[in-house]
Amino acid sequence: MIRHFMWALRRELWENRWLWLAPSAIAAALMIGFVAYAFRLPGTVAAAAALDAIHFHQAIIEPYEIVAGIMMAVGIFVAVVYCVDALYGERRDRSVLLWKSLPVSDLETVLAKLCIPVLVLPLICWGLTIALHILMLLTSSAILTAHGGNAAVLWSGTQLLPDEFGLLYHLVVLHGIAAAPIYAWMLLVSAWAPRAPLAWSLLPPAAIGVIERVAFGTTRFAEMLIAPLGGGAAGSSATTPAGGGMMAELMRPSLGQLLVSLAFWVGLAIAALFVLGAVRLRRASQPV
Amino acid sequence: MTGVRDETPVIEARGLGKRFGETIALDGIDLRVDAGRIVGLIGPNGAGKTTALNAILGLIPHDGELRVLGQDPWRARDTLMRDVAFIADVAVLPRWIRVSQLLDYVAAVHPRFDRARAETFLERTSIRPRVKVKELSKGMVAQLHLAIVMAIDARLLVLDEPTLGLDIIYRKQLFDALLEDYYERGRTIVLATHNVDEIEHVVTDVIFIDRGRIALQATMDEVESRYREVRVHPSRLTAARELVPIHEREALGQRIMLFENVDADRLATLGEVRRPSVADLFIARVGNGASGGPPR
Repeated sequence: MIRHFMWALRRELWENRWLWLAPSAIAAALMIGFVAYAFRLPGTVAAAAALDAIHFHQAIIEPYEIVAGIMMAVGIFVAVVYCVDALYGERRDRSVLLWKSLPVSDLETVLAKLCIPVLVLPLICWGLTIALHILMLLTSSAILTAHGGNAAVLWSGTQLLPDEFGLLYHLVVLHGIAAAPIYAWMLLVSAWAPRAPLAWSLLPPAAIGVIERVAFGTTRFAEMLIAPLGGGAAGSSATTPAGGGMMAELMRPSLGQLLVSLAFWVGLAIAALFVLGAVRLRRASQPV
Repeated sequence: MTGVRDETPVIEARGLGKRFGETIALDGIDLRVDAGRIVGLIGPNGAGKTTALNAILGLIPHDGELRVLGQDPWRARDTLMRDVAFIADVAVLPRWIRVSQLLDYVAAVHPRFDRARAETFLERTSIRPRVKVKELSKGMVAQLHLAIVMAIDARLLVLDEPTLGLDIIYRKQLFDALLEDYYERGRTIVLATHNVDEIEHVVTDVIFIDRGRIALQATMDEVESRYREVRVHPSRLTAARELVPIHEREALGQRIMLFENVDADRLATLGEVRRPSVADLFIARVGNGASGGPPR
């Protein structure tokens, strides 16, 4: 089972090389942008020195947060694009008949596909963000030193290591596991849709949101859907107290809060139902 | 042939049915395929061949009772695929995959796949390991798929229209490879086709299917002993018709009649007797009114 699962995962990465190429290209573009920005860094550091410790810290880490935020958004976008095509694409190119001629179960295949947005993409984005942060730190240190500045303020100001662990938690637990119901829904639609899986995956939730807004004047359904992709689990508070720092923001809600959140467990149960639905649909799926 | 003949049928169906909405694709057919046979599943387009094979391969749910190698294919598709290999009717190899990746993947997930055997088969072709499927011609894709399937030590091999759109060289290679494999391993092979002529000399059994029903299921030996075709002498036409031929046609100005279970010596008095081709027998049993026209 594990062997089949790992090879199914590898097959996904062979087939969808853009899963890591697209985030890598964005990361490269961000690095180029940062290099251009870094030449203004000596002036920024000098101006920040006049600020209090908290604002000085914020001024230094702001580019790192922006880069991490963009990479998070890229991860979500890539995950959505992947999910809507994951089970539809194999029906479109008829390769589902090859995969089903091999002794790999539909459950193994669907779980491997779910693992891409829940685990693999968060890890890819995390790795790229770390690489970016290190390169940014080295580049800015070199430029600052070349201009007679003290690069040590950057290294003490960024608190790279704890923030990166916070980012790992944020990406895997909040963007990955807590958002699993959304990805599982898209896989379900991808396994069923006769055509246009993206439209089919977006229309029902959009319709529910519109009906709720018209009937009750509320937007709870939309908020519930957006909460995990925005970084918080459904039902938990995502508000950030001022001065909490990047690490505190990334760790909110904490694992403890999440594990006692009913919404989190209900979400996982819904994800499991969607996965079982996708497995059943794939079992009888034919080329489109 | 070295294969062991087993009493348990490889495929056994009773009342196998399948509906798509109002359309009846399989109308409760009974089917039995014994071990070590090469069975030609013959029918016009839309006759129900692919539906029957899809049910046998566990790709679609069905009505009625169906056992393949003793298992229910719909419930146990993934375990059944350890002992069954198949090629669908059109190219299904994904265009993005490299030949080496495909071999790696199948070797990793299939316990009965012999990678060295597949590579030996591919060495006889111009297919290189680093090439992607999208860079191969249609015939080469078919050769690649065949190399993989032939390297799987499956008890049952199912080929659905394996030569569709392919040239005569590939067709000959395919059937040579099938026969070589059959005599070497004695496995059971089911070949679905609407092209009767090309499998006539390969199969040991034929099953005619039309409009979701079995029109004939027989071994080639039974076909040979039961059916006789007579090029009837013009003076013997009335006598010939008294023996109730199952089919009569005209060719090159002569009446040709097909008889079932009529003594050969009696038929010899009517004209020139010979064994009918499978295509002629198909037309006699299924008729020109078949849904997609007669097979070639």
